[in-house]
Amino acid sequence: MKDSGYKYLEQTADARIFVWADDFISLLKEAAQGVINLIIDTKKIEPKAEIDIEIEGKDNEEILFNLLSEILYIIDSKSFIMKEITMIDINNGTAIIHLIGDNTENYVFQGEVKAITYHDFFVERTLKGNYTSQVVVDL
Amino acid sequence: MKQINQAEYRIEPYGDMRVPVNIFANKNLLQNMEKDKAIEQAINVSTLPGIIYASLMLPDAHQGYGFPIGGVAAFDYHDGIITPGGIGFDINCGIRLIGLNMEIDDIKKDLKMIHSEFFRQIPVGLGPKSSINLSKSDLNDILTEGARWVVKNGMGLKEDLENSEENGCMEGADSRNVSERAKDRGINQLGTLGAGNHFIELQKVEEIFDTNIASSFGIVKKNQVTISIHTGSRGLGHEVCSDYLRILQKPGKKTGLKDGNLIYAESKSLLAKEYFSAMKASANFAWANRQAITHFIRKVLGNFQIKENEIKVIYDIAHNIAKIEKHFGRKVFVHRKGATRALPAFHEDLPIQFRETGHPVLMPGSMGTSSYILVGVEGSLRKSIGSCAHGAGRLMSRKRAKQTINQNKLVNELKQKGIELKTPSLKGTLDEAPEAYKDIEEVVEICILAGLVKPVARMMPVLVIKG
Repeated sequence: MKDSGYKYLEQTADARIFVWADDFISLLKEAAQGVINLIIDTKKIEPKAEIDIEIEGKDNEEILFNLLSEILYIIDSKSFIMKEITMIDINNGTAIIHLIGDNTENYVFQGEVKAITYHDFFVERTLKGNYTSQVVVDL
Repeated sequence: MKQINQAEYRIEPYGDMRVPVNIFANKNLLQNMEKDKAIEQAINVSTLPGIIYASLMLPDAHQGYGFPIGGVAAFDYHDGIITPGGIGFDINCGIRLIGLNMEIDDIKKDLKMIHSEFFRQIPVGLGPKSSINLSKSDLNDILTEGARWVVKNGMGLKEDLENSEENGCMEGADSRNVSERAKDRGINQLGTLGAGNHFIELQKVEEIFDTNIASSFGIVKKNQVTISIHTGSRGLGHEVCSDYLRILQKPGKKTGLKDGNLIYAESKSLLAKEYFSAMKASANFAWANRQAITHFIRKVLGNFQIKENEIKVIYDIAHNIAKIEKHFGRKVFVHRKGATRALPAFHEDLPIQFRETGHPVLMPGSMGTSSYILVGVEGSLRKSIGSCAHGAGRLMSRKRAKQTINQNKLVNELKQKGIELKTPSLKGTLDEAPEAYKDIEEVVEICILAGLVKPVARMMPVLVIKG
């Protein structure tokens, strides 16, 4: 059975997200959900628009970090709020990611995530081959 | 750790610490600091190259990323470093205080309308865009000119600039050091409040401690109306910080640093120059942002027959910034992260109007509590690298606040104190409730006891807009 998800841990001023998944692609999807759900309940977002983003990273940590930074960047720069990642294609350190979501102007948000930080940041592959990660974001 | 007096503690250097960690706190505040990693972070800061004097923790210190929030450190200009982790993601997040020459009773009948109009005219929260359309070249000019650009374009008075730290613009900002990504994020955000702990408060003066200094700042009577704006450089500043953390991480990931957010550039390096220039550009964007919001506030109040020149900028101060200053006879990069500058009277960097008083030090409370105007005194140069605390400081994690604080109870408690709240998302504001923060009175008391500042006036909120 597939086992993946995320939960929020205590962190004074910021938010600490612990993420787990069976494979790296699922880990990326869960972590993205963890970040966006701090801003708005993603269930409330209508899948009215779609967007492709391309990111680079020489290892799993860089790919995750850059992906999360990118989904924040498109909120301000393209007024796009993500509902879900529907497809991820990673090849030679380049990831093409397909997102569905909507225009930010159609929603009221409960908060803002300023940035992804390197504080206690990690991506780990466990002995069983699963992935865990921790992401602290600045609110 | 040893206690120095009732307001100060010190951790003498051990291991790879280069200087002590000096903590401004009483027992209670110290216990709060011990609950998270704030002290460990201040110790990490004390190990950085070129640090002078001490790694400081102000009474509102709590865990950040890299530096603690409420952390101050100075690094030698020639042999030291500059680090984005000592400034923060929201570069030049800060406070602007505006004074009106009228009492709260004079506008009592209009308060509801004023509240609604502020909320309608000023974009608040994450989604809404600015009504000011900027071209790319406008944005580049703002990054170089700061609040001056906004005033030049008819949105403010010359005096607004004179009463701002750095006159609302740090010289030497080069927009070429700011990435296109950062500009993409900022171009629609001039004059927007943002979310999180950002706010606009209409307040009344509750207490004046020093009538001479207060009146020289334009605070002349109890119940006088003031307005506080708390916001920063928005997405542009966040992106600049993220960009440079990424660039600095690249040239060899194994740095030996305990915390990746403390990654730094050596002060002589090209990267240090580029980051400092981009930081200045972001700081300028933040001053421009607060100036544009001031313009919207004046526009709204104009509809209630309050004239532009009756609305005076008292001061505008940065909370997250690095600056070149002289301390202990050395030229240094002072990093203030969640801390304000607090230069005492007769300091050579003070503009003429604040020469005999020191510039106003603005310390906001938390939605339902007092905000303070203070001024630096001699001890701030001797003990805190010319710095003071920046506010109440977070006590409860956002997660716990959201779980434990009740929406209706919060609104009722504020109402009982005579405070009206408007926010795009009440649920999103729970983590900004007064009980999620340390007691502002205690923070102010320790800053005074330690001899860093003296109080000038205290205000209470009447209308609050939370992002």
